[in-house]
Amino acid sequence: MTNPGDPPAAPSAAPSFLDRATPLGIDAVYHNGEEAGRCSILESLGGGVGWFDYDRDGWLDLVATGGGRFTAGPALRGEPTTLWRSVPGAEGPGRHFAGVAGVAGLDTLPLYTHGVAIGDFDNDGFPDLVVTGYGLAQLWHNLGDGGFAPVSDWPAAADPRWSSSAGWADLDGDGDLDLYLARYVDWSFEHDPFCGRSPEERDICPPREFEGLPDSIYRNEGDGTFVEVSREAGLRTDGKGLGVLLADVNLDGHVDVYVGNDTTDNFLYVNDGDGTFTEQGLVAGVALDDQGVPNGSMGIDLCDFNRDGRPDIWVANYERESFALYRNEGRGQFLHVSRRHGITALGGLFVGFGTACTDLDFDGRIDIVVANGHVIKFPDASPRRQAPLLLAFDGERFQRAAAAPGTFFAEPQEGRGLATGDYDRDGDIDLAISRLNEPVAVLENLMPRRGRPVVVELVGTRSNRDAIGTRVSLDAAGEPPLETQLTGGGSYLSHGHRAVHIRLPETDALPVDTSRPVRVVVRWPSGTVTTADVPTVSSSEDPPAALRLVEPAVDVQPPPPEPRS
Amino acid sequence: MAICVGTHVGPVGCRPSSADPPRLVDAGLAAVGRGDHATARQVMHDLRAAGAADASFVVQAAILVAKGHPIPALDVLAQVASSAWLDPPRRLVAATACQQLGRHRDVESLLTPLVAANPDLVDPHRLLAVSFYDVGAVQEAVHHLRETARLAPDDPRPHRLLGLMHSDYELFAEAIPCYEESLRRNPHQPDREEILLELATCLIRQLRPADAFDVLSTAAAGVRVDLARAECLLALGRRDEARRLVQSAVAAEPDNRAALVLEGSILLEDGDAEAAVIPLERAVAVDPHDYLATLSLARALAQLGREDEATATRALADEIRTLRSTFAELHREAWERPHDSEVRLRLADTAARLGREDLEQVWREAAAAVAPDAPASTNDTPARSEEAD
Repeated sequence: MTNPGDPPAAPSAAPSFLDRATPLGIDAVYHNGEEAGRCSILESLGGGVGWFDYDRDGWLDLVATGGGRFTAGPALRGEPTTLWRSVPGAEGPGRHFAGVAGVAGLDTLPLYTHGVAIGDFDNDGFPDLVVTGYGLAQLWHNLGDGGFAPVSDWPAAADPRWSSSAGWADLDGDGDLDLYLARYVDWSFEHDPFCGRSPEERDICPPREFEGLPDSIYRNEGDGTFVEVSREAGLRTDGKGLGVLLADVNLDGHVDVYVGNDTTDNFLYVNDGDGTFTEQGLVAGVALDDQGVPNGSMGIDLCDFNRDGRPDIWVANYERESFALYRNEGRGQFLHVSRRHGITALGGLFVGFGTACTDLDFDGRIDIVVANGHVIKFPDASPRRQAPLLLAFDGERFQRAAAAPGTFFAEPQEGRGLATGDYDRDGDIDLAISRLNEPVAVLENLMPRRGRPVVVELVGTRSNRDAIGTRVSLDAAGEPPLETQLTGGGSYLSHGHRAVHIRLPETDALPVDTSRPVRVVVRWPSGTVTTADVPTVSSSEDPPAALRLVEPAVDVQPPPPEPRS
Repeated sequence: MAICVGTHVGPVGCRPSSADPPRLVDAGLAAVGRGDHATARQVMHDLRAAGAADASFVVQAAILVAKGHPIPALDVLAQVASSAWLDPPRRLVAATACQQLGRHRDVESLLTPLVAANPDLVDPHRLLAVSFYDVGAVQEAVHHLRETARLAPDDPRPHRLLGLMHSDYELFAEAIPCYEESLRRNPHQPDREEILLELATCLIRQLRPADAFDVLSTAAAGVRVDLARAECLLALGRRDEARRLVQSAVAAEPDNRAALVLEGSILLEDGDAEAAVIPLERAVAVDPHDYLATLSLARALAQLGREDEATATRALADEIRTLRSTFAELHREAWERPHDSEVRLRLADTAARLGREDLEQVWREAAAAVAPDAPASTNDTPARSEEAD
């Protein structure tokens, strides 16, 4: 099969990832129930994956939603969410994964699931879990003993509206995590119109056939309870939310919320500093594409692709729409620059979902990865199964890296959720991708490394323990500063592990001033600013250096001025 | 519009040798279709000489219609007595006259029985397609265009019109094969350059810039083609070439709105909001209702910190966007309700608010054509209507 937009040549390093799910022991499949032949829009969203160290043993574990099936009635039957714990190999060195959802108690709710959002809502050091889906969104409390318990009295448990992506962040600045929950449309068995060219070619209805559902914010009361504050927070009641990103996009010290909506304007909720928001998507230039048209937006990420110190927004969109790169112009303004930086040259055949922009090959520049796949059964222009994309930035343009035949990035598939995480602790970023009705792929990053990896873990004290909203600036001699931010949400229905992966230039390859230490400046959500020297690693072959930074409990210094305005 | 029912017509350009009235009528109408009015008049005389005065009136009416005199044509046809063999050409000529008068309901009522009785008559399908298109009854127009295309396999026009209709409704994926088929049927048609540009525009909107660029490679040079090429080049990342084309276009036509918007957007992308404001302000001055120009100007002003101006300009862009959205929604309603004059009047009003006097006129005429009190005959030739007078 020909993949849409196959590159004519190999402009950059081939994406070298190996699917190791089977040898690692991971056997997770997302079922959308399509075998029932209903062709409902419910089947189109797919599932998510999340990397997190739920047992705090230092190794990343994986959670994957299971979806569900249609049964007589008609009704829905959920397929269990699965949890895969990283454990030492039985024979010799190395790790593998053991399925522990049953032990952990995650397989008890029959929810037709979509996404995961992970955050330590009670600041006890053990990451908790929200699973979204049709019928309710379930919050699971990590008990710290290997088990999870459903939080039964949280408001979303009694709210049957269809939820998609979610993200955690401290939205009201009180030091604990609140939850933003995106909701999609008002599909139900009673509202399930026929779409398609003929009864023989019934197809998934487009979102315009349905009304959007209002998103929700659940405020963490600090005592293990949550209150829905969507109205007080100023949320709009329209939108068809699929992707959510919680980050300080305007660098004012407060976490904002960006929502990717399907065919309607994307929202940018600018945090007013007190847990209320002003929706500024149109004002900021991130609601529409460069033609002033709303897109079918799915996956989202934040990155400073041009290293100007300002976070840019990346959005994976529907076919015949360009994926959107919104360059942060300062003053709270963004500009759609997909054309400027080579994104439109990909063509419009991809339907993009899970995504991440991060430095996958350690060349010091941002790469973008996107899991693709169509949502309808009889598409005209592009196939249902689509190859994932790896886009490498050369300083001016993003170019699609050509994948060797037979490799994962050359294989058409129905990709949905995507999560980043260094599951093998070798310093580079691996991937997990959820696909419709086939096993979750766990992709080991085998890209040749061109620098020294350092992994920075952040622990908030006055700020939320997950340090979501923390900005990290790396000041390495010989290179422009690199700004990174720990975000909530992001990608699509998925959770990437929150750690800052730093690549330092190899001292023997670049004109580095070795007399000057490489330093990170950390701006915590509380306003505290700390600095730390990065430990040295002599070569790219060494194990990655780890830097664990804990926020001081008291102010250690006044915040310095911003490096750039 | 060629008028030829085609059931009896002989070789084109040959005068029929017999005095058989049906053959003579076909020959007369064919002559009218060719613009050969002298031959048509001779056929009229032959018919009268053969005692077929009614048939002679039909040919006479066809000549009047061809000369742009639909009301006298209808007066002549009113004298024609009912006759089975003469009914199809009479209806076709009458419908053509009504089409010229904007009397869609008459066209529909005259020709629908004709195509129902004989679905292989190409000219009634063609006329119905045009008539339905003019009143925004898209589904019906598409049906008759497809029939026309089937019955006239060398005619490039039905697919061109199908392409236009689909692109009007931003159904670019559907428009593209229509334009391609039109070009395939006759690559040397007079409208070829326009079709190439329309096809390229659809391809650009479908994010197929390389294909669009290929299409434009065979188009004659000109500012509009250069701007379309520039859009392709921008999407393909060939910015320097694109910039040169846009600069040439602006130099050649300083008030070309599309060129100014493109110049402004390139400057914005290059991070030069201050320079971008100049062409964008010019574009908005040229067309205050241009959505993209207004929105881009708002973005440029905001980047420059000119907040008040940005806010006001953004409000204007939002207003235009709302109107465009209303216009698109009304389009869909008109599509679904081919005889609803009210929705067509609202389309006309919205077009006026969007500064599109041309579309306003089109929709007012469409509203009048489908109005409940518009004359709609069933079988007989419609009389002159007051508004037609």
